[in-house]
Amino acid sequence: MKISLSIIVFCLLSIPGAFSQTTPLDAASIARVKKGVEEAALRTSTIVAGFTQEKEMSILEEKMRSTGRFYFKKDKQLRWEYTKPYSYIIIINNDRITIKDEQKTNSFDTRSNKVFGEINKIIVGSIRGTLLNDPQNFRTSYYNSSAAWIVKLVPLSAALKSSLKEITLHFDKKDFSVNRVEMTENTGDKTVIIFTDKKFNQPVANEKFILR
Amino acid sequence: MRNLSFVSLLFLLLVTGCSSLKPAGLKPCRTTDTTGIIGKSPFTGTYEKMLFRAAMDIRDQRLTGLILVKKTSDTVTHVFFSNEIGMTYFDFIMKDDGFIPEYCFEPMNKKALIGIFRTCFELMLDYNIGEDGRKFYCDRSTGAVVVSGTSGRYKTWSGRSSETGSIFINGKTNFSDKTFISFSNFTAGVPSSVIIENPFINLKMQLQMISF
Repeated sequence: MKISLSIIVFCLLSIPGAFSQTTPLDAASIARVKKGVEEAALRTSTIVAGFTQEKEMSILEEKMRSTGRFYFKKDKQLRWEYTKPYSYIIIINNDRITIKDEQKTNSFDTRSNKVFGEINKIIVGSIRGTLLNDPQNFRTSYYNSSAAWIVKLVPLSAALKSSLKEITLHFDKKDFSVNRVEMTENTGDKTVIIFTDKKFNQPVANEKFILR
Repeated sequence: MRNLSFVSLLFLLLVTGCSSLKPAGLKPCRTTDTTGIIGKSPFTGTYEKMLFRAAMDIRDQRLTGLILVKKTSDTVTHVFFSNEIGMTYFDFIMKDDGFIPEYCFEPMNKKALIGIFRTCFELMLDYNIGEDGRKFYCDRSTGAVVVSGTSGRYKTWSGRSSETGSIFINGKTNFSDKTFISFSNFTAGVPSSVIIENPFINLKMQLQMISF
């Protein structure tokens, strides 16, 4: 009786580990993932999705959570629309960033704002797949999990390295689109963005990427 | 060219030097009634954790996001600022015996700027004027009492605006960290709106409380 109980307990404890386990990919599988992401980027002209963003901080027990809508249009048009806990819109239109908060609309060149410049590169680069082929700026490693292809990117450029320790991208196993972006800072604090209800290649008006 | 730089510096010093800490229209007054006198910050000794929606304008740059103020022990407080996407701008640790920039985003990681932030947050959160050497002044038109003295390393002036009901704290250690703080929209003695200004670097921080 003792033995069978031990086996049950062992099995129960093993289940979550088995599901969350990741294994490194071999060269052939890496090539397959890279090709899949490149092809997905080629056939995707627009993405409309919901997103949930959670910030984990060492000094805070609970996570800071925000939600909103996400719009992408090839080549470099992006709209992050935060709806909760408050309204906030970030538009990236090529190299121009416009931010609208409750009081002001601010517009600047990505080259003049290093934070958003780098974030722009990460988000657009992961959607377009270009981030996986940027050995000058990132060291990449590939993993397989039951739910996703996982790519870990370690920044190599001094600008990004000073704030980010690692970026982890989770690609859908079926369509190779990005499901989840994790940005781990040098302090260990982490931001996780999860995309939901993704719709591809639907018409998105250019006006979505203009703020006045 | 050197002359031009010198003239510009002189002009800057003149402009910023002219903004006096002492509010206008005051005369020395004797008061024995100290009730209602603003001798400490509305936050001093009142909070465990506060979350603010924040907008920070420095010259022509605007940074927005969330500022979290959290006590992690009786003597340690974190002031943490991150943008909406979750990237950390700074994480400052305020202690009884000092101020530690635990993390500061590289472009902002300048000793002088961090010193100015130190003044802003120490006055906002810990201002508590000692009884020794404090002087009372009365507004010539309204009779409102303003108190001057020292709080820690700061020379300060504080009081309540009889027009708006807001509380102000003006303080400095030197000409460059001259800081003007205004607290308003009080609920049960806690202000939900804080504006912090430093004219020397043209800094304006607007904090709107989300949770207390």
